[in-house]
Amino acid sequence: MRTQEQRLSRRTFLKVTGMGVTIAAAAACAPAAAPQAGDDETVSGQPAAEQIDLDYWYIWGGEGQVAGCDLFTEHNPHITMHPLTAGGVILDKTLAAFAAGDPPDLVDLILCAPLAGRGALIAVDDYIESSSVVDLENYQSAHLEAVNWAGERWGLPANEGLGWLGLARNRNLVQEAGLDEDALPTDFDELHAWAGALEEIDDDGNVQVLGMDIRGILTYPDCWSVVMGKRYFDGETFEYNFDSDEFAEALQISKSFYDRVGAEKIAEFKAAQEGQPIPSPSAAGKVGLFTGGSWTPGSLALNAREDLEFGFSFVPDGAGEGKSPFFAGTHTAMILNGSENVDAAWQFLEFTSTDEYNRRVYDVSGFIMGTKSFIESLDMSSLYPGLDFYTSGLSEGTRVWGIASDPNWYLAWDEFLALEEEVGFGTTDPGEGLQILQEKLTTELAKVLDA
Amino acid sequence: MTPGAKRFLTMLAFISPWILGFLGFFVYPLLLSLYYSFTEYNLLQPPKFVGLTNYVNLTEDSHYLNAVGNTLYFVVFSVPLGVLTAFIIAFLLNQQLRLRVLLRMIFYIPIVVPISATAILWMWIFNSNWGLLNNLLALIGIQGPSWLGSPTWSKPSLVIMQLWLVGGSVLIFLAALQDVPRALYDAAMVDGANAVRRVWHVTIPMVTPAILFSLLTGLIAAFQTFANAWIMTGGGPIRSTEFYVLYLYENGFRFFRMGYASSMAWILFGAVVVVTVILFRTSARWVYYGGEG
Repeated sequence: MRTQEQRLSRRTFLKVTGMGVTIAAAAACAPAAAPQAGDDETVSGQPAAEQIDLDYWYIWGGEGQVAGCDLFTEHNPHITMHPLTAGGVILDKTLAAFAAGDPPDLVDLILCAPLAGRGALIAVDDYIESSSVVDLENYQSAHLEAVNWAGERWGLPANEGLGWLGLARNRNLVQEAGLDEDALPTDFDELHAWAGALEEIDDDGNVQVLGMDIRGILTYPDCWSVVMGKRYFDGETFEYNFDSDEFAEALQISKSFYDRVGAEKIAEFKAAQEGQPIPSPSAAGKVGLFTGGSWTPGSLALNAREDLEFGFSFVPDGAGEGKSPFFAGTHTAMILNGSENVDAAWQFLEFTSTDEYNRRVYDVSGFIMGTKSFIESLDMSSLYPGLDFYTSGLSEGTRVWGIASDPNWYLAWDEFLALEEEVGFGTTDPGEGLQILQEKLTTELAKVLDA
Repeated sequence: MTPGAKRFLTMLAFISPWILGFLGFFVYPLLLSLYYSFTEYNLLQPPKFVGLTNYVNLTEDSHYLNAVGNTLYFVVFSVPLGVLTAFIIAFLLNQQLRLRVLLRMIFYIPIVVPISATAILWMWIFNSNWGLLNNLLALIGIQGPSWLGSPTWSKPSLVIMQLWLVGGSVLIFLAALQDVPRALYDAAMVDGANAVRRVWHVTIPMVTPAILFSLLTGLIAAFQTFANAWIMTGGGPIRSTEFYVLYLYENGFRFFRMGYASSMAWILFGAVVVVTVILFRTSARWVYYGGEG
């Protein structure tokens, strides 16, 4: 009898274990349905008391974003935010989560087009229209370019956005070289002259002081667009313009700065600067001219030697029209298709447009949102020296463009940056390289449009 | 039910968690990626079957061919050098040295350090201005290059860094060396073999299984190298360190081309299988397992 009981017990155990494991594994392996394009059901008419959880992923500014989310929850106690700093891999992470059928409700990326073009976002035009909080007039028009795709809006500029392209000068070096700061370079020939006066090369040909770091203009493909007066991508006709004379000239201009002292020598110089992009703290005193965004004045004020002073101005106009080019970049918050709480997600998105939210984010992390009312509320004289250029540039620039609404923006960015370097090193012909890039992007765009 | 069948079912029930995990988390994704390799798939929309298009496009993609070249360079130089270095270190550590145990531990430490920390450390070592390496070279009158900044030196730099990580192979070689029968050395000495001949004719043949193992694992790892380039160079300068898996990752998770990335993954898988089979096939000629005639 005892033996029988033991046998039964073992059998039962095995049955239960086997079945349990099978069910658990089957449940775990069952692919969750990935949200599809157009699957934009909303949960309208939810009872106000229902507790809602929202996942919100963003690139940088952890503490500020958390504080902003907390403020939102203070106003909306039934909505709990789950903020997550995803850093430089936010796109990778978002794609994986989406494919796995478990995307966050909201993400904060650079622009909307790559996800919107592939059906991963909820269009927000209707929400904007019916909103009593969001005032599009309060945004910089250039920043709004980042939310466009195919004639619709897919998010709102959020958290950070001023200007992302200015010519920085080391005033100490400029004064030592006897250059006149009242007559800053207005074209690339003059920029060469300044670079020549500032650079210092030792007897072995090594760069001791780099006159001009041209590569910064390539931070994003949009930078050369605004400098050359030619958009690399036209979001209305869905055409790339990399195979144009303007971009061929842009690469030639870039190469001419590499050729001043040699691409290898510049690479050596840069590699020696603590492996950080210019202007790193150690390089700040050794580079005469460089480009940077609105983060540059603060970074220099906090990290560079105390005795150094920097000035900021517009990058010369490569189009020869005498204009002041200014690239207005931003971060953009958007609602992912597949969110189960679209209305609540919109409420948060709406809240990011308020001065109250932006003030909280700014107070905690220093991120400055470029809405007109918020910029006006800041006392620029109390902030980092030179930062005012990046706010005044939005209105004083005479060619102020935002991010191209390009669904292949990440590919364009990577490939153009690499091409510029290859041309600088003399391994690729500019025309040939641009033609290949144009064809590659056009092929990828066709896939997006076909889908 | 027969006792044999019962035993089989019992065995099956006990290993079912592993089997299910293997099927669900390995075989299923593997087959899915094979399917994706024949599709256009951006992770956000349903995959669209395109036949062999991805594989054909790879042959025309200059960046892909560049990545293949970079990876082959890394494999060809880092694997043999790694095996040789590991063997030499193990051989030295197998001698009657003072602090032998401490030294063995020191050589193994890099293996337990996270690759990201190792990468940052080597970025400092390779710094052309104040890095350790160039400062040591300067002591003997050599002006060191820009290790990571120059397309000429970037790949050799990563090969050098890889030698830092031979601790695992050192342990395996040490075990193999300690397994060489003392009698064989005695017999060789009686026959008049000097130290070099003893190493060549006794030690090396006896550790060939360890050499095969190190070569095999080293090759597989080298084909898949990713983290060092991702952290230290980002694939640059001018794509000189853009290795296969780095380019694969970028296509899959940055450029919305998971189908294309899957086809790359399957080609890599095929290449690794071919190399492994070749190595195994040739091993009969040069690997000696104790007790064989």
